[in-house]
Amino acid sequence: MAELRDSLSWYPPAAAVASPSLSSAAAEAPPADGVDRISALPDDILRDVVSRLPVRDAARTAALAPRWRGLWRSAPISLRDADLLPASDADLPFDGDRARAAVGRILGDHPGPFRKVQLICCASWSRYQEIEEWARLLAAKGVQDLIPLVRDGGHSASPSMRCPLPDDILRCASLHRLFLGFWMFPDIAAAVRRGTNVAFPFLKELVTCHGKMRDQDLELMLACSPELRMLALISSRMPLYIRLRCPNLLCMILTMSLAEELSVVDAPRLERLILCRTIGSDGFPMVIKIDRASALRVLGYLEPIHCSRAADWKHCHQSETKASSSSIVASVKILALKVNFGNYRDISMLVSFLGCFPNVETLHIESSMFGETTVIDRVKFWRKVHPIECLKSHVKEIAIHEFQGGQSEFEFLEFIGMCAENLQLLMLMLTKEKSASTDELDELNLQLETLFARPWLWAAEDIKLVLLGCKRENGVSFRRASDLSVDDPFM
Amino acid sequence: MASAGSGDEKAAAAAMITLISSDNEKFEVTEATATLSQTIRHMIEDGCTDGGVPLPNVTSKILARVIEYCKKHATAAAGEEGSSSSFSDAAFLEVDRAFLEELEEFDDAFLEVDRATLFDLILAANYLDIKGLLNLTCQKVADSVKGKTPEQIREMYNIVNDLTPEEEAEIRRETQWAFE
Repeated sequence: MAELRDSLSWYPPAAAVASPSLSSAAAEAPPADGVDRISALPDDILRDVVSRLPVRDAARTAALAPRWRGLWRSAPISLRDADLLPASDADLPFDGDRARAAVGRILGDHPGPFRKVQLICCASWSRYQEIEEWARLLAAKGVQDLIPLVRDGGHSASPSMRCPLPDDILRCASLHRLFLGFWMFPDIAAAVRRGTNVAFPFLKELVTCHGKMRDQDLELMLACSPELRMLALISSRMPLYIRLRCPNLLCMILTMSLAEELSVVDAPRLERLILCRTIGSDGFPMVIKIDRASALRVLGYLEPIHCSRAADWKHCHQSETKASSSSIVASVKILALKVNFGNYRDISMLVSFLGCFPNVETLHIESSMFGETTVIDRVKFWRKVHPIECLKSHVKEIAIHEFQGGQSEFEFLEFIGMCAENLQLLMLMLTKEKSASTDELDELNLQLETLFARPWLWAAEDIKLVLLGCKRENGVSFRRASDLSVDDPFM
Repeated sequence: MASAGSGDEKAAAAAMITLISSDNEKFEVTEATATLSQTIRHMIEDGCTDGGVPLPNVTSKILARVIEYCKKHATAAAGEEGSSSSFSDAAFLEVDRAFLEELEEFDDAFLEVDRATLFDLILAANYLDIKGLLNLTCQKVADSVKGKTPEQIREMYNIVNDLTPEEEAEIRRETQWAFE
């Protein structure tokens, strides 16, 4: 569930739960002059203040004075069900009845708009009718940012995996962000047949986490969301075939996916494609096709070991095949790969991959232990590799993550040293184990010194070597992956 | 806080704007600082800042504080733009983080004001259209009423309760869930 926490943390955290016992909160002393300054503020600002409050606190301001009653009713509301749980319940067995009742009252009574609605702890599959009613109200009142999760949806046998969200979710045309957790997406075509008008003219971010979305529903959803900027499918069993036709999509994130194919059919603005532990289904690797993505700048992690069996993998041919011109993606500047340097198939694929991305300037390689070490003459292998365009002319920075100081890794370092003519920075990020042992660190330093003491080994001059201890979680952080202001999400 | 007449000729090399408070005190600030205010940004764009920008709604005491905020945050914005996007800066991420923390500390310290000043800052931020400052100050007010009963809030802010008992009972019924 770590990835759910990670991706949820992408949203601002729920406000601290209001203190349970109201009378215990000590009021600050009033200013001695007795002037009511807060009421001198204009309505817009007071509405802003009310909107910032957890929903219970916001509602209580209605009882301050007649003007405040109107402010509460006209302020855009952020409704988080977690704010409705008494704080003292934290240690007690969960009982969401009160919170559920309050959610129903708020959605029913407040005219909206609802700026943000997070139902992450009290929605229950066993009360589907309630969820249907909430969906109807949300659609009617204009919700911009919606996170519905079901509490009891975590298991594959959970009913929410078999029965989809109510159709009314598709009527929430005002949505800017939609984050679905543990839900099956509604059947859009069937909903349309039942008379639902499905259009998301403002939707910019769509995330499903531990969800299920059929191939055709994803396609229809994308077609209905012309402004979509970010799509993330996290730990979702479906879709199996992902086809991206998105005029405005900037970022696609796919983690822990069982998808068999990811095909970027037409995404002219797509800047980054982040893949994380895309394992494919039934042992078959995921096939990635990139047709039209002329703005694609950031790509990874590609995992050769998983892709190598795909017959029609356009960008990763069989190890012996060289990159063909149709598989060239010239726009990619930052590329991330996961490789076991000791495995013949992996290093062959690595070479093949690099040939497909001739303009890469920053290369991230996660040194993996996955797969067995092949007994071959790797020194000979690296010596025989044909010149690789990106390494020879463009790569300026190489980061090797999870560096263990193994012989196969040093062989690769020697290889890039010899051919990367523009290399300026080489970063080695050690594994946790490695960075914890002083002895091993000393030995590693010695090895690196030896390597760098042979200037004839290095094609580029003045390479800066940076050795870093383990400093990050494995994989890519969802927050960094989805934040387009972060230039390099793999760092 | 350079006031006019200090004759700082060197500073004039960078585009300087003169802001004039309601009590006629003049403040000279860089354009980068001044344009954190959308209101002033528009005035600069329209070319109507020659001879100074009169701000009849802002006293010198409050304007000095507002400028203090803008100076700090303008530096921060410049720092962000200036930072290279390359990952070779990874080593400097720590520095960025430290800077952000410093900015947060600055904001916290900045908000250590009496309530009259806080409300004056809100009005100034609203009038000058300085989004960051408005967010900061409104959040401070929101935080101050969190977890309080209406009675406590009324007392804190000297709000006169002119609801009839019937009205108040009705509101409490409507939002009973908020009082449980």
